[in-house]
Amino acid sequence: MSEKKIIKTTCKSCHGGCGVLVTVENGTIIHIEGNPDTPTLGTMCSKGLSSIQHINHPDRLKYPLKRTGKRGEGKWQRISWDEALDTIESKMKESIEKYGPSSIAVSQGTGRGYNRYTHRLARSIGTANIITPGYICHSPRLGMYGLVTGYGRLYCDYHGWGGEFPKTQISWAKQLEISSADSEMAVWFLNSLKHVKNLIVIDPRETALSSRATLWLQIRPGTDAALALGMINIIINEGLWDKEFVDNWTYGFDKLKERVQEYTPEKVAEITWLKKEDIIKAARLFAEDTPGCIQVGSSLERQANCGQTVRSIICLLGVTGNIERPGSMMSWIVPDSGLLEEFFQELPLTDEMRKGIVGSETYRMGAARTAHSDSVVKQLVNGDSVVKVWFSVGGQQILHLANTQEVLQAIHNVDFLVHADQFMGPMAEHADILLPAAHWLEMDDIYNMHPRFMIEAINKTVDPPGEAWPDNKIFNEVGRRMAPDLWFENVEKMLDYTVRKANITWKDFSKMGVLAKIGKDQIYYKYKTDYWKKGGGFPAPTGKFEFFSTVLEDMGYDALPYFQEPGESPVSTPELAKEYPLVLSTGYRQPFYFLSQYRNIPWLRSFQKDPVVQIHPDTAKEYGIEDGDWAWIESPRGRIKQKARLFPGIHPKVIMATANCFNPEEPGPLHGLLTSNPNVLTSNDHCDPMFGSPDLTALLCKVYKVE
Amino acid sequence: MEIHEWMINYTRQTEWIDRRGIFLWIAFYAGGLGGGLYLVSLYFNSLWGMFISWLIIAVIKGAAHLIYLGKPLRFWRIVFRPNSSWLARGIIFVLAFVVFAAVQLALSFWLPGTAVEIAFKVLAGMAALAVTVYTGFVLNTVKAVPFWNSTLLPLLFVLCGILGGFGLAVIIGLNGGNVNVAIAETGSRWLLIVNALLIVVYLWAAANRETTGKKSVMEQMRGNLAPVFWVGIVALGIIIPLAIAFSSYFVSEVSSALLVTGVACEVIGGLALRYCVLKAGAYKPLVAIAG
Amino acid sequence: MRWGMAVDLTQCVRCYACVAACRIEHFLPMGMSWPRLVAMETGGDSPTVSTYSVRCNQCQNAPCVEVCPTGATYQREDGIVVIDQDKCVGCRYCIIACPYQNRTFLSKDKDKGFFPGRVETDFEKAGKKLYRHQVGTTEKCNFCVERIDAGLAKGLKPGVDREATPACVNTCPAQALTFGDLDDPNSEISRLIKEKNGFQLHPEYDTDPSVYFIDGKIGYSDEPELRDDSRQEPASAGAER
Ligand SMILES: Nc1nc2c(c(=O)[nH]1)N[C@H]1C(S)=C(S)[C@@H](COP(=O)(O)OP(=O)(O)OC[C@H]3O[C@@H](n4cnc5c(=O)[nH]c(N)nc54)[C@H](O)[C@@H]3O)O[C@H]1N2
Ligand SMILES: Nc1nc2c(c(=O)[nH]1)N[C@H]1C(S)=C(S)[C@@H](COP(=O)(O)OP(=O)(O)OC[C@H]3O[C@@H](n4cnc5c(=O)[nH]c(N)nc54)[C@H](O)[C@@H]3O)O[C@H]1N2
Ligand code: SF4
Ligand code: SF4
Ligand code: SF4
Ligand code: SF4
Ligand code: SF4
Ligand SMILES: [Mo]
Repeated sequence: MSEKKIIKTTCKSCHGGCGVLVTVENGTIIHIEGNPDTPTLGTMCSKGLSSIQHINHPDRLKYPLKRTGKRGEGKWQRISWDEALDTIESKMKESIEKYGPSSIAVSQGTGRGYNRYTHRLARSIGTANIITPGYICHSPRLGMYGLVTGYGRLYCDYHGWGGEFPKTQISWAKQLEISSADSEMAVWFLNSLKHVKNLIVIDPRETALSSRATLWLQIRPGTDAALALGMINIIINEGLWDKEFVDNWTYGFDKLKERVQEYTPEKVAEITWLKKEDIIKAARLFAEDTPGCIQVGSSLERQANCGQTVRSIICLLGVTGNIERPGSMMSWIVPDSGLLEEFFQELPLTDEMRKGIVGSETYRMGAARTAHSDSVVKQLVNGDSVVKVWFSVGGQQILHLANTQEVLQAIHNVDFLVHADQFMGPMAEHADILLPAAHWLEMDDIYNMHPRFMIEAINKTVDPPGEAWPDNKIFNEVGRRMAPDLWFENVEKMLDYTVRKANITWKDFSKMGVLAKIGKDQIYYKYKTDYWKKGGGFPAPTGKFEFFSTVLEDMGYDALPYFQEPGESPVSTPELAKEYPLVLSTGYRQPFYFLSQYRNIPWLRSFQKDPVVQIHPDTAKEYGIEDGDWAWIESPRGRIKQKARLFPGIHPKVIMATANCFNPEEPGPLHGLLTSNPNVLTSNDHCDPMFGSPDLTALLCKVYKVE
Repeated sequence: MEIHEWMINYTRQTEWIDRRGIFLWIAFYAGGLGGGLYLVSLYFNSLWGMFISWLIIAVIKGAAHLIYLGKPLRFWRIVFRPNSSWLARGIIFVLAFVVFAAVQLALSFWLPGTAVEIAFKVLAGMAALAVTVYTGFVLNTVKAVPFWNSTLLPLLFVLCGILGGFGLAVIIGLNGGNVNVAIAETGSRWLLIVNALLIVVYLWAAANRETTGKKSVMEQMRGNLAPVFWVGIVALGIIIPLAIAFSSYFVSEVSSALLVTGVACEVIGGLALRYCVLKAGAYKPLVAIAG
Repeated sequence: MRWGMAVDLTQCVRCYACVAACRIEHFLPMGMSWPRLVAMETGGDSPTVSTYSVRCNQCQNAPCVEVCPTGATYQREDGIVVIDQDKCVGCRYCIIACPYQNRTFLSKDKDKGFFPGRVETDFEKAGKKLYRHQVGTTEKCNFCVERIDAGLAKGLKPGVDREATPACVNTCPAQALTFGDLDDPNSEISRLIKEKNGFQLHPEYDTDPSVYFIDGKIGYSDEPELRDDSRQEPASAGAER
């Protein structure tokens, strides 16, 4: 008898969030498509759909493995989960005994829906040395929103729930249309474009959106703060600012006004390589055609001046009053389950944990609750590392951190490295214990949308291969051994606990699928109500939206935004620029890959086999490179090769390399990453003073043909 | 080729020449050659010639077609839509020829000179002509490939087939078949000249109709196909046989080895011509690239 | 009734979702792709990134139907051009004849499996039972006739009800694809084509495709003269039909 059922679940093949319908017949998935009865309207992208090839991939890790040869030698022995967990427990306890809990680092890659487990595990062990790519991805934004408004999350209101869609949208260093970055789903954004009057794209590269934009600003990488400040200059000097908002609800406007005077349109045009008229036009459009919103892309956060860049952009939102009004930037009200972050926030950061955070003295914004990854790397290389045991779940620091050669050395110097993954990538290859992780189609879990207005159920559809476990089970089992009081009898109990505030159980939620505050449930203009503060206002120290940040002042940072040249640029290092004349940016997303993932998925690989570097045809000609040639890209740190794509839409002085790549089919342990991954070229020597973010998307390089 | 790097530029047809497609090329040429030889043999009333042409069409062409098909066992289905498909018509012509010519050969062997024999000669002759012609129509009706979409193509293929026929007839004559070698040579000579002119006109017309056709022509004259074009079609297919043919015209007695060489060159030339025509057939880009 | 599709070039973001959706919908063998993306960029003063999501145009005067010697390729009442996989002999004349190159011959090497020589995935095994692809025959986009037929049988409306609408249309996050009846002047697709001046690819071949494109910034024919001709006579859609 054949048994066919349709299971509703949630995709997290990227930052995630699409509602999915999976047809399962006799334990086999025979179809997958979007679920129309969810906020993503039944749309799905190539990555989520290709999960079908992912789950049955012959290279999936199926059993816990123990390293038998030298680190990275590729010699493994299958062990039981018990042995794996026993070993992890004893290594961790030993290290705590000898060096204290901060000697344990817990790491993850980009958000894959289990951040709250990573953080809870670390805190329950007594460490805050959490290694995440947050400081180059999303956290600077959230941190700065938090400082300026007192509330940590601002997202564009694409939804029209308040009766209005954004009239002017700025897509700033972002390809939301294909990245669905931070779970702001492409489908919402694209739908909102049907209502937009002005679309402004700020990007050194042309994109699908720039072609239909009202204005496309082809900016020099790393100079976005200057542009934002220049726009504020124009808006203030032309008297276009939102008087009602600025007069009543903000702090430090006069000081900001003074500060931006040095950013005249002429000067900004020179810094940014833009036309003065375009800067003026952008400023006017954004100030006059309100409401408006700005999608801030993480390319801005992968730069050593990211703190001030993001801050400048928030000030631009402030002067135009694009906060909390329908169609502008919103902080969404969370669903009845409450803020899922409480799952780890309920375990407070102790002073001891804080003190143990690597990099916390230097990078007081970025390393306040998590470690500064590059400092961890430097310490490991120098042999004075606080971190001894590294528990890594689904993230490949070997690939994603700056300066690969150093990172490799660091990884070799870790005393004990545990890694949980689905495949044998470069990070997995270097582990001492390797744990097999399940795919989202193979697990029960709760998906927590980054914009936080909804949570969604991930329902198991098929069994994982071999003995692979869902990440939540891995965390819970390790947690139970390290801090039994703080973890749960089993995953179901943990999930029950997660949704308890909504007065439901996991089983109930699993059937509901989505728990959301959408439409009329959302509250606009919260600062005009008692929502944050009695009598209105923002939850920031002054009770106002702070153009002048009192918190930053207290921390000893500049309380007003400013522009700083990238650490390496034609302006800051003109001598170097003679040898490396082109500006190198790394990291435009491909719609069919997710960071380094999916190059082993045949359907997805068929779209683009080799990593591609975009070069302007004129530039290519100058260096004798033709479309489809392999080209060396060289920086002072090293060189890699990617396939040249002659792209007339990129600035002639900029080249754009594909980030986060290796070739799964090449031999381990590195799978060709030293010749393909742009972090071989990036530097971890100059970092943002607040967040510690290195320059990944604004450097210098030269290119030449691979002979 | 990644799936988006396609139909952006000049995109060659590959199915009917690359890889297994070479069988189609052989089949197409065999049709022209076999049909041409049959017609020439009718003229000389050479039984050997007729028999060999029957073999060429029934065995070589038939086998090549079968090998090429994705589902050879369904071969019989090919005849279902003669109202619109030249391929269906072609195969019907081939079948007709195979049957008529077989009957004719049997009649010529046992009952020569009878009315039935003559009737079958006419029938088989018409089928042979159709076999020679149809491949031209198979290609020329494809609007999508501008290089083929020319009325000159069927004419060229027929002439080229008959030319090959005269060539083979010469060889049959040299080997004692009842073929008048001198007449066959004269036929060859004239046809060579006409053929050469026709090729020039055909290419010239294709190059001047529109851009894709022009690219197809350029591809042969200067691109990847240039060696096949200049060596195969021009040198082996035209110049050498012409030189030999004219030397036999002026120098009354040419060695038969030289004549055989000339014929071999002609055959290679014919093959090269079909090869180039198939290989250079290209589609217009799906959408135009500005600039 | 004549099913058609409109592809809005200003909406498409080159995400490849349509391609993936089709592969799953039809259990496509590894080397097979029914829809494809034609990706183009221009420089100059108004640089443009353009992506044509293309698939079989279901031409009304389909050259592929005309040349097919077996009758395997035929046109249904509703305008969809389909291939009877059991009749196709794999002669590939249709591939040659399609001016849009939207047909693919399924050769052995295109059907080696997702992970050749390693495993046959559960999905592939299921696919062998549910959707038989025959090596040696020619394939192409069929406008998801399976969905349309099953949907119509349930009283659903293709282009409106998801269950009856092609997979690629459903999945497109940009909603760049619109499906519907070209013969119905009130359908969304007829309206779109009319209002936004939808055009067909290579009108000079007189194939009358059922797939229309909207707002192509990068031209649709490389013959400037022809392009101008078709401008004078805007592609007729639903209303006039
Ligand atoms: N399909 C897919 N989706 C993804 C990912 C993926 O790998 N694939 N990755 C996920 C992750 S972890 C993240 S962080 C997000 C990131 O996704 P997004 O934030 O959308 O960003 P990117 O595509 O990395 O880059 C956006 C644009 O920034 C431009 N850019 C580069 N440098 C500069 C600069 O200095 N100034 C300006 N103004 N523009 C610049 C690039 O040209 C690029 O077009 O996407 C997530 N979603
Ligand atoms: N030069 C340069 N460097 C960059 C960037 C850039 O643009 N340019 N982008 C930066 C950014 S924004 C980010 S977020 C980082 C991202 O970097 P990472 O998140 O580290 O990305 P990956 O290298 O893809 O590593 C992810 C690993 O997680 C595994 N994995 C996937 N899903 C799961 C799961 O559910 N469970 C488990 N256990 N494992 C899983 C995958 O198999 C893979 O091995 O890279 C950063 N580095
Ligand atoms: S956008 Fe993200 S969540 Fe949606 S289908 Fe694609 S990978 Fe899955
Ligand atoms: S799914 Fe839509 S947006 Fe994506 S490539 Fe296809 S048509 Fe374009
Ligand atoms: S697009 Fe090609 S395959 Fe489709 S109907 Fe037209 S001619 Fe036939
Ligand atoms: S390959 Fe099949 S469908 Fe195409 S023309 Fe031949 S028989 Fe018809
Ligand atoms: S209409 Fe159906 S068959 Fe055609 S491309 Fe779209 S999904 Fe594939
Ligand atoms: Mo990220």
